[in-house]
Amino acid sequence: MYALIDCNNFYVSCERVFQPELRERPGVVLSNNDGCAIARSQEAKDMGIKMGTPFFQIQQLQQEGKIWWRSSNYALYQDMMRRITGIIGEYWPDIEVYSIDESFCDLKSFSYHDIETMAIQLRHRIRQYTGVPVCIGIGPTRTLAKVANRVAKKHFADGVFMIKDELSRLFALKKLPIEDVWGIGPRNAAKLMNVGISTAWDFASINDYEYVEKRFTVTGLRTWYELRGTACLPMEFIQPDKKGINTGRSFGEKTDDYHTIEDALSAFVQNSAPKLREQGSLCSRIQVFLMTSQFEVVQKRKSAAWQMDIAIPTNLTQELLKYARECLKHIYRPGYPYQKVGVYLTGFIPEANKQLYLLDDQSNRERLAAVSKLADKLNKHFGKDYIRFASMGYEQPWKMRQNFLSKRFTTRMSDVLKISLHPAFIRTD
Amino acid sequence: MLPANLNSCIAVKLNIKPQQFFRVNEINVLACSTTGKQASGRPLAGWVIHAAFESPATDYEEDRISLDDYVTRHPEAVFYIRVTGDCMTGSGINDGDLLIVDRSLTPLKGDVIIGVLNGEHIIACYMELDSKQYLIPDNPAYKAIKIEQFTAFSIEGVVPHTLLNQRNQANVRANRLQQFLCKL
Repeated sequence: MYALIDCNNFYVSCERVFQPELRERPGVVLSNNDGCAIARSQEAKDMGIKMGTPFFQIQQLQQEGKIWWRSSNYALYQDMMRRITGIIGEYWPDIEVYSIDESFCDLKSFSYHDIETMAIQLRHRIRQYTGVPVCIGIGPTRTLAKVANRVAKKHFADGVFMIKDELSRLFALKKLPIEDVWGIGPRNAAKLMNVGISTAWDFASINDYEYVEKRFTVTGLRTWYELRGTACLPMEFIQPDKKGINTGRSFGEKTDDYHTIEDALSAFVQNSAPKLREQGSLCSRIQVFLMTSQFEVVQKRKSAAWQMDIAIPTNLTQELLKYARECLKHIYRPGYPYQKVGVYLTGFIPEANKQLYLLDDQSNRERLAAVSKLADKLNKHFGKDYIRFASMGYEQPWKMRQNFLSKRFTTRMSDVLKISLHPAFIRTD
Repeated sequence: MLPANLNSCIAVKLNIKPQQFFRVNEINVLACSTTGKQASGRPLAGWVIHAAFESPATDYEEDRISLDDYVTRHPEAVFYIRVTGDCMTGSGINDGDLLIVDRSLTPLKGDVIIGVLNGEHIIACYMELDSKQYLIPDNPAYKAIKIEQFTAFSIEGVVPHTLLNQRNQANVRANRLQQFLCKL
């Protein structure tokens, strides 16, 4: 059996734990740069606010009723997720963190336990310990666990649903539109609709293995097996090392100023390099891209990228900065309203098998590596960009817009929640 | 063979004189480079001795007392808050004190709790009487609150420990003790 534990409206729930005035009111959490809604409270969903609704439209709603919004506070969400993962791990130790708000658990060591009761207890515990509501779906395969989770969320007040027999499988699959099945993309969904298959149940009931494989390739076949109760997707307990690291973001405002763009690029390189060091890789290829908005008039539209092989693979911020800047020089042209710059690091090789080079000053490299390691440690402790290179700039006009950021209640002593005298307390005199 | 300057290299890294290192032979150095990973919190000196004479206490090494472990039994459920105001002075909670909130604990009569009353955080003493709940400020200057059936109230967590800043009180205490000294 597998379980999927999924947090309800995770970002919104995290905000509400520390800001009770937001509870029971519609609200959204905005994307990087405060561009659009990426998480919605149930009340906001009921109001018809869609995923990705632009911020200005939400602001208009404010005049009509009470809706709140916050910038995304990833430091807070990450810590809350760490807490939830810890609680799950005490119950079901074989855990795979699938995304920031979803975790799979392999329950094969619990075959003699009452899994449903455990799930109800676990859900209650997560709610009590962290304040974040979750739903738990259980099924014989990962896909069915995901289906069960959806049923739990939609139809069951206690937030737990288990596909334990044929009847519960039928109940769950009959209700599930084919396009919402995990692993069925929009194109396959359209194909299936064409042949009259509209629910997951219809798909799972196809009795022709060869037909499924021919029409929907191996991915479709795997989903088909999983829906029928044969597990094909193994758990991934250890996250595979990244093959490439891509960091790029829109500027707060469009710009054609070379120095602003360079500062932003430097910042992204400095964001990526610690990730590289953390997984113990060296980067041998760097790519920088620079683009204007695609909605710009044609004469003002520009998009360019430059790629460079690094002779001596490295994970040192200093060296990567040098290469990134060189790339940027190749593609930058003045006079365009640039909106986005980014860097893509790839061609990773493990640090352990690095080659030594004849003409390379190894001792200096070791010193720089020690500095980077220390800087990474300090930044983890004191917050991002505590130690940084001057090339990131000081004014940072390109910086993300995060005008509605809540505090980092759990990771910064200076941001700890303050509780003042409650207005309901009245003086006796 | 190891390079001749290896001892001095290691000595520099460990910040000791190379002469102190003369007993290190090849095998010890190799052992030290594979096993002697400098774990956080462990003194570097233990590492050096390991290379020459192993400390007789190595087998008895225990973790140092950690306030964090003592206070946060359930690290997933522990949060910190800061209090402003004087409504809890009777429980030794003063303006600006840091409180530990453990959401895993079940509130008992007389506990200091954090709750949400009408959409706002509240800190108070929790009391029950005749199966009615009360929120009582630990300061006679304020009135107690009775939780009625339809009051929007929930308990968020119990406060098992508080951190009282004794140095903030030093001035007040000095004045008080001054009088005591005068009486002698």
